[in-house]
Order: sequence, then C-alpha cells, then structure tokens
Amino acid sequence: MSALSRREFGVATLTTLALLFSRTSSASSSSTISFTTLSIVANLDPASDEFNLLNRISFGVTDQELNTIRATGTSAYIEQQLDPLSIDDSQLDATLSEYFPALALPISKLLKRDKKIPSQLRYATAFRAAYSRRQLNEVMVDFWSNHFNIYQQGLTGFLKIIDDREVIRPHAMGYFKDLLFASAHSPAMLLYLDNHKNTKQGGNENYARELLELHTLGVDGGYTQEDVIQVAYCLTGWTVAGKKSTHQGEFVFNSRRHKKGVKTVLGEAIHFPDDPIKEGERVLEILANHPATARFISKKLCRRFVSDTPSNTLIEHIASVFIQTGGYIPDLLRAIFNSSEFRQSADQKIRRPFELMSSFIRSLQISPYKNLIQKMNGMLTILDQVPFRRLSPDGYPDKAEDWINSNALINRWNFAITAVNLKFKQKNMSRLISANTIEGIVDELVDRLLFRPLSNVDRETIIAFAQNYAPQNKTLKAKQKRNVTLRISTLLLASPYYQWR
Amino acid sequence: MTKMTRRTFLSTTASAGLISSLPQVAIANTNILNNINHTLVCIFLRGGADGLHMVAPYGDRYYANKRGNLALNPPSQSNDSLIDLDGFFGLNPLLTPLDSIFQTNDLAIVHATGLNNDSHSHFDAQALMEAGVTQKNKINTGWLGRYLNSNQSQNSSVFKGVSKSSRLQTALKGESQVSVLNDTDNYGIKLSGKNKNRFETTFASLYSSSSWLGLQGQLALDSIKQLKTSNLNQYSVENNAIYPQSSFGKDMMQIAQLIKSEIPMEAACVDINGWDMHTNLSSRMKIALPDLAKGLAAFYQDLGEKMQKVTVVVMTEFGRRIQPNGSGGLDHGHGSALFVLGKNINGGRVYGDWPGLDQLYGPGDLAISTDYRTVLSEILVKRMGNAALETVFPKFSIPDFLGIC
Repeated sequence: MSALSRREFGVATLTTLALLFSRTSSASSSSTISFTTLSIVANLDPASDEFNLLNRISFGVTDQELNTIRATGTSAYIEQQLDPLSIDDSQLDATLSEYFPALALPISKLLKRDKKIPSQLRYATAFRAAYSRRQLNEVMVDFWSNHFNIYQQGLTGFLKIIDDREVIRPHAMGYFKDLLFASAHSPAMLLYLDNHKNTKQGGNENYARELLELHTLGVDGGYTQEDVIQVAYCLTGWTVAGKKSTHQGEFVFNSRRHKKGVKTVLGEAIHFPDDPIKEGERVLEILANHPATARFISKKLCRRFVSDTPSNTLIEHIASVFIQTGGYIPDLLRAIFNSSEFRQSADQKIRRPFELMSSFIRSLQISPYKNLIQKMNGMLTILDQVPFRRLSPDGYPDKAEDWINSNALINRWNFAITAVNLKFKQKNMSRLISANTIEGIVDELVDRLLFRPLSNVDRETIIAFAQNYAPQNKTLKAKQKRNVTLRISTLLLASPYYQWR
Repeated sequence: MTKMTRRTFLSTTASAGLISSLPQVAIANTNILNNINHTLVCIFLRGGADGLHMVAPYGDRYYANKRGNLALNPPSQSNDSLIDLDGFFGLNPLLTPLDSIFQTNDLAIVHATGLNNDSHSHFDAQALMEAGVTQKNKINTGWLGRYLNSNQSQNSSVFKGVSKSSRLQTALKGESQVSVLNDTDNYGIKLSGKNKNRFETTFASLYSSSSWLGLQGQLALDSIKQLKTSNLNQYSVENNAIYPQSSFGKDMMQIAQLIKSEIPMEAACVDINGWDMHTNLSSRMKIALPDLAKGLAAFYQDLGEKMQKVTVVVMTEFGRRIQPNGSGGLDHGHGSALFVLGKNINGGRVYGDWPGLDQLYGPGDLAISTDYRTVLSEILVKRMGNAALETVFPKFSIPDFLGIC
C-alpha cells in the first residue's frame, strides 16, 4: 500500500469504517502511516456528559465527584469549582502540613537550603492534584505554573516554594494582571530568567523577552527586538535582596542599578525619573491590558480545556471576555465551559503524564502516604513531566503529539503496571469487587476505572486475556480473583480508553 | 605533528581491532553513497549555542575588542589558548577532542551560518529550522521526516528515523516510519515470561484501530518486536573509545549501538539542552563544550571505518550577541557555527564567507552568510544520495554547494 493510499485510508476510517476494518489488521501493518493527517480524537463509544466535564476540569474522575455533579447539576458544580475557597479542603491541608512542613517555612528558613526541601514542593503538588477537592483550582495552578514556568535548581529550587505560595496559588483564580504583577516581583522568576543581572551597567534581555513572548503578548503579539531591549531597560534594578540585606531572598528594587532616560515600549514613551520602579510597573500594565495578551492567554486556555486546535471563533470570544472583565480568570473559564465547542470536544485531549499519575491515584483510590509520590516519581521522570523540572521557560507543552509516541506509550503501559502493583501492596483491590466471575469482574472494573463502556470487541479481548489467569464461567477462588483483578486493572489503565482527558 | 602523520596515526589506531573483518573501503569524495546504508545523525544544541565561543575568529581585528572578557586567547603554547585551525579561526581548547578529527579532514566547520529569519525566539527559530523553512506557514512536517519519506529506500523498519529524546523532534515529523527511542536499555514492557507475551498480544488488539492513538500503539508494539529480533545485545564499544558519562554520551553510544546492530536507521536526532547562556557563559561552556566534544569524538572513534556511511551534523537555532551583556553572558543573536563529521568528507576546513565583526547584524549579532539548508542539502545529495530537495526544503533555491562532501 502506498503512502498516499494509506493516508486517504487513515482519514476515511476516522469517520465510519474504523472499527470494521481495523480489527482485522495486524499490529505489524503500521509502516508508512501518516500521523500528521490524522485527527486527534479517541474514536470510542461516548461517555456521559458529566464524565466528560469532570475528566477535563479535574485530575481524574471519581465516583464521589460524579455523584456530586449529579446531585447539584452541572452549572452549580462548575460555579463551586470556580470558587475554590467555598470548598472545604481542610483534610488535605492537615495532611500537607504534616508531610511537607517546608511549604510553610519563611524565606529565612528556606535560605538555609536544606537539600530535602525543594522536592517537598513537587511531592505536595502531586498530592494536591490527587487529593484536593478544589480540583479545578489545582488544574489552574498547574496551568499557571507552566505558563510562568520556573525550573527548580539551586536557589530557585527553594524560592519556587515562595512563588507557588505567594504568586501562583493566591492568583490562580483571580485577575491575570495581579498574577502577572506578582510573578514579575517573584524572586524565583527574577533569578530563573536572570533579571537580577539586568542593570544599567549591562542589560540582560532574558526575562524581558520571555515576559513578552511567553507571559503576555505571545511571539506574534506585535513587538520588536527593540521593544525587548526597551522593556529590559525599564526592568533594570528589579532584583532579589542579597546576603547583606535583612530582607535577603525578597524582591527589591535597586534604583542605583536602574537605567536612566526615556524608554519607548510598543510606541509609548515611559519615563518616571522620580519614581523609576514605575517604569517596570507601567510596562506590566500595558502588557496586562494589551489585546494580544487577551488573545494569547485565551488561546492557551482553550488549548488546555477544549482541544489542541481550538477554533479562532472561540479564541476571539474568550479574548473579548478577557477584555470586558479585565482578565478575570473564573469568567474566562466559565465562558469556555459554556461554549458549544467545549461541550462537543470530548476525547480530544490526551492526559499528560502528570495527569495520568494523579488519575491513577484517584481511580485506584490509593490512600495518601508520605512516600507515595516518591515511588511514582521515577516513572514521571521517564515520562518527562516532573513538576517544576522543565528547563526551558515555555513550560510543559499541552499537545497530544508532545506526549504520545511509541516509546511514551510503552512507558505509559509500564506506569500502569507500577501503579496497580502499588495499589495491591497497599490493599488487595479484589476485596472491593463484589463479582466473582471473570465477566463480572471485567464489568465492575470497567465501571470503577473507566466510567464508560468498552466496545464489544474489546470486552471479549479482555475476557479472553483474563482466561489465562482463571477459568471462565466459574466462581473464582480468592487467589484467582486477586490475580484477575490485578491484571485487568492494569490492562484498563494502559488501554486507549484511559489516555484521554 | 603534520596533517599527514595525524591522519595516518588515527586511521591505523582507530580501526585496529576491526581492519581484518572489514571490506576494503575506497570511496571517492564525490561518490554518491547508497542511501539505504547511510545514517544521518542530527544533533541539535537547544537554546542557541554561541558559535564564536566554539570556533573563534581570532584573526578578525575587531574580535578581541568586541568580545571583551569573553575573548579567547589567540593560539600560543599555553593550554588555555585557541587551537589554530587555519590562521584565522581557532578552536576553543575545551573542544580539543575534535582537533585531531579536524586535522584528519573528517570534521568540517561552517561559520556564520543559520536560519535566515530575524526571530530571536528559541521556539520560533527551532520550529522553523526543523521544518526546513524560513517563514511560518502551514507545514506541519519536518525536513528529516520529508527526507525519509522521499528517499524511497524500501526500508520498512520503524526505526528508519529515530528520535533519541522523550518526544519526537519537529525535524522528524512526516509520513514515514519514525520512532522515539529514548533508551535502548530494557526497552519494552516491564513484565516477564508469559505475562509479557499476554500483555503484548492483548495490547495489539486494544490498539488495533486505525485512529491516531491506535496507530501509535501499533508502532510501539512493532518497535518492541524489531528491537527484540535485532542483535542489539552484541554491541561493544570499539577502538578504545570512551563516551562521557552524560546523557549526551549515552545517546551517542546508543546510536552507535543501533548502527552496529544493523538496524536500518537512516536518520537519528539527538538534543542537547542548556545552551541559552545569558549569564556566566564562560564557566557554563566549561561543562557544555567538553561534553559535546568527547561525545562526538567517542562516537567517531567507536564507529571507526563505519563513519564512511555515517554523517553527523551539529546545529543550533541561532547564535548569540557578539558583545557580552552585563552578566558575563550573551543575549540571543543570529548566525552561529555548524559542524559536519564523517569519514571521507572534505573536512579540515572552516567554510563560509566571514561577514566580519565590524558589520554586525540587527541588535549586534553575527550575520548569516550561509543558509544552513545549503549545508544540509549538500549532505543529502552527496552523502545520502537524495535529490528530492524541493520536497525536503520547499521554496529554497539551492545555491552552489560549499564542497563539504
């Protein structure tokens, strides 16, 4: 079969023929296929609307949350999630302060640089994703942590804890402008992107460029190389207090390092000789209110919540809400969730590794214990999505093609094996299953883990697989039931059904 | 030591253990090699590697002055001075392992080269360069992906193109068989015996649909199967090569392993991160450059005569500003240097017109005198035997080749 005919074939099967033909094709037939022309969509029997919503706005669907949605109705559920402080999360908070006390340490204590501290933030972040009841808030924390990416290394490893506590979390569901201002005053950010070295004696464009390109306007947002230089001038002296200061590790504006003179940014002259910190502040204001920023942020949010390729119509609509509301994040999210494009977008986003990990924990109901995330962390390293360990300032990407490939899929399968083994070490999961036959166990596990039906062919395949471990149509002995439950759970979590969000 | 003696010395030592088992290799420089047996290894220095710190134009009379405290010492007897290449350019002594390969004429350097686009964005510049174009357009494939698809080598291996990374590089995207192979060690499903086979069989069924994800699953299972039947485990490092203990060293060793296993790999991509040196460039290069040079030299040595059929290219999205910023670093720039490595190329020379440091480009950058695609085109045509350049580099009218190979 030539490359071209396969290509046409691939597109055609997407619509109607898929299941008929493909079930008979062998695994070795994948040569000269065209991934670039295939749509990123699951092709599965549809799941419920409640499932689709939860799957998109949380770190993994659970029975408990599905019941809540069904009890309150979708709109009320969304409203509650948009107002995270209205949701009681005290149980998680208590666990966090017991397991990860470093999160609450003042700067002075963090600066003692106990080597065990930076990883506490990574583990706590995974804990929150898995166990917080404020799921949408955690999703937004993840979104903004990547948008304002900081790589934990050396001193930023410690100061990122402050950034998480005082920049990202307080503003994740607030106004974009406040978030931007907080980030520009964040010691971890200024160190990570070298603005502490940006002085009148010698500029450093690193932060200024990424502020324009990655944090606000976007690379096509209409700025020039000269704008980058001028923004860098405005931000000279924005630095972190050093060892001699009583405010060591905190943001400080050093006016002696500030470059004098008039600056011009995006056509606007900026000059506050009597209060030069205002020059940087004015830049942030211009950027926060710029229509290119509204569009750039809206596009990223749509990519996170709708699909890898959201329509321009939707992006423009969300951008207009951004402008109307002064960039109030809950309003942007509500507008996305209320759009028809969102409602029709089921199964178009791939779970990224971090989302996969939290979903595993939530689906399998693995109970929190201190070393849990540490145990899973190795897999997250292989899958290349350890929180706050993205070296490049663009943060982890959010498109399917960045996370699915031959090697990544094998890693995902192995991750499912790891997660299920972990659950069984904690608790023999088969005791939670009431069924005692292979078919019964398959159906019950599908309900518990997937919340959506298997196709008949896949169901038969899995039942046939289970017969390797126990006889069919018989009541299973405890040991057989345990073995079958373990194997089928692994298979379901590694299956195509589980890879979508 | 003269060039000739260096060359003789290397060719006898490098292939000592191999020479008896190898067929006589006598390929003239101008020969077009059989593409099926040739492998192109593309190393991308992510972040914008500073070309002037790798290969310094010490003969440019503005060099010392414009580079300030980042200027390297002109060639002399001392250890920290540049290694002279041609009386004008000098190799950073941190790249010393590359010197003997250059002297053997198996390493060519192109300077003042890169992407003809004024973007100073890492992400835009990388995307454009890997797509093989200079302006944004709707192309969603990469130049290597299109190359693999156009060379009609009857090669049905899923490892026709290999990404040594956790994700597929843009350059490899296309309609051909490319696999991500992050690590050849323990590749596959982490189960044993019957369980492993049962899972593989069941996955083959669950992932049998012709959807995007289904096809990825089939590719994954194929890749397991093909690696299992290869002689990957018979690999040994030869010719006393020593790979650096780094992720780059491991990547290069595993690429050598794949080549020696006779897996029909026609292109491989490797990334090295961390070249975005806005501060303390000098000290950061002390780690980055030896790693690069040792990894390349070990690979060259390990493969020995097999380097006849292997070409390595080292490139980056842009160079950096000529003048240091206030923190011993360099902000984003334009032109940089590119390396080509392989036996029987016309190495031992620094190619490209030198724009001169008196005439800087844009905000103070090195101008580009050679489009990077000129170099890649020449390699594709002369080393890989591929003439479908209009597919690989659309809208690029090929200028005269530099004569690198």
